[in-house]
Amino acid sequence: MSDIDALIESAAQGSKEDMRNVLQSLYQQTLNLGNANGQAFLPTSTQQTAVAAPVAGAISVSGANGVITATVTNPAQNVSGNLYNEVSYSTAKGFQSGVTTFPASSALQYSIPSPGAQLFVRARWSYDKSNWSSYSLASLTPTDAGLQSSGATANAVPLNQSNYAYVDSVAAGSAAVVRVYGGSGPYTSAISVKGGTESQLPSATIINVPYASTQFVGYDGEQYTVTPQLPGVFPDPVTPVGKVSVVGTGTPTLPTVTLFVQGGHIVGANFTPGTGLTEVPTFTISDATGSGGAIQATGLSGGGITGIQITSSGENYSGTPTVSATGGVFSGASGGGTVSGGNGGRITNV
Amino acid sequence: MVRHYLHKARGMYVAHLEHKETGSEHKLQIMVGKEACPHCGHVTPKNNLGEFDPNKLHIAEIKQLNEDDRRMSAWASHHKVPIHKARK
Repeated sequence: MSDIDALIESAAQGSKEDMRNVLQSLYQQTLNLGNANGQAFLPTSTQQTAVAAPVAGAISVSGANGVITATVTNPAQNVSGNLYNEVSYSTAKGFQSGVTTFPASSALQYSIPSPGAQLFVRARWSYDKSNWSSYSLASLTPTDAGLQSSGATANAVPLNQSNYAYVDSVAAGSAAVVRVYGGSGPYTSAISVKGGTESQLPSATIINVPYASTQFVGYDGEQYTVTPQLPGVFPDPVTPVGKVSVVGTGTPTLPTVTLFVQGGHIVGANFTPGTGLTEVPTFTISDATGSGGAIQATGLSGGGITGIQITSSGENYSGTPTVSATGGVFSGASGGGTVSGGNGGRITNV
Repeated sequence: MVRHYLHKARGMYVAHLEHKETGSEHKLQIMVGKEACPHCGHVTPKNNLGEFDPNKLHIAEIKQLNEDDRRMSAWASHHKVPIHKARK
């Protein structure tokens, strides 16, 4: 039996006073030991009960539009009360440097605005913000926040801009012309708004643009830039003006179609495919007595149609119905501003 | 007034047309180069530029600009609308 054991045994067999003295002596020795080790022992009345750390939960992340969203899944609780999590992120997989840590909370979702960044995200859990579980890493590879598209922000705020420019295209000989203009029509200036600053964009005629191409138009303060590819980020001085799908070549040779009629119904067709077509043309059937017949091209290849399909044989046709073809050229689709401004000039969906 | 130049890096001829009195301005641009090489930035010249006469195009564009100005001025005069001077 050790000296301490003998002392406790003696006190237990003695009076309450003996026991009190032994306990106070042990408490004092504990305090002395704590002070020598630099640890402050709390009085018994305020001593907190230690709570074991919970097991780690899970965290998942996704990145889009310049924001990484982290979703926390808590572990099953084996202690009643609050369960806290602490989410942190870094560009380094080992979190050796550049670590940003959210305050401990019970929130289950976190947003990390970081356009263009690739980040590792982790989380840990605790019941008392003191004893923490091990970390759970969201992914072994960094999560890409992506670039923030202008469509992700509101109109006319510092991160965004609106413009009222129209961008369209017209056929002009061997190449197309792209026009930039304001709400009053060609050769009038357009309004551009960046944040709270309004400025005027001059009108423009851009000649020799390839037919049937997609072009992104920007303005650098001196000239318009026209590129078939949209860079991920425009240089700062360039104002995005619009996107235009340029018209197809101007003068195709349209197909000709000869119909065969039997018993008043259209039963067959001969055709020439045409040349220089960029879109399937539309056919109209004319006849003195017949009606209800309809045909359409089955497809387009090498600038000509590939076949004729009779979609409705009609009735009462004479022996010589005539067919006229129209269209056949991509009409282009304008980009840029809208009448009301709205999303004018936002270049998205690229 | 016409100020014009060739921006070789972008393969773009640019003519800045400006009416001193009205402040109207217009850009006449001709794509004289194909898309620049994404690696070295070299712009390949187009081979169908022979038909483009910059001076002839300037005249046509200025004529159109003046016509627009004339129509707007006539409209303002008809409705007694004061004309705002260009901010320069």
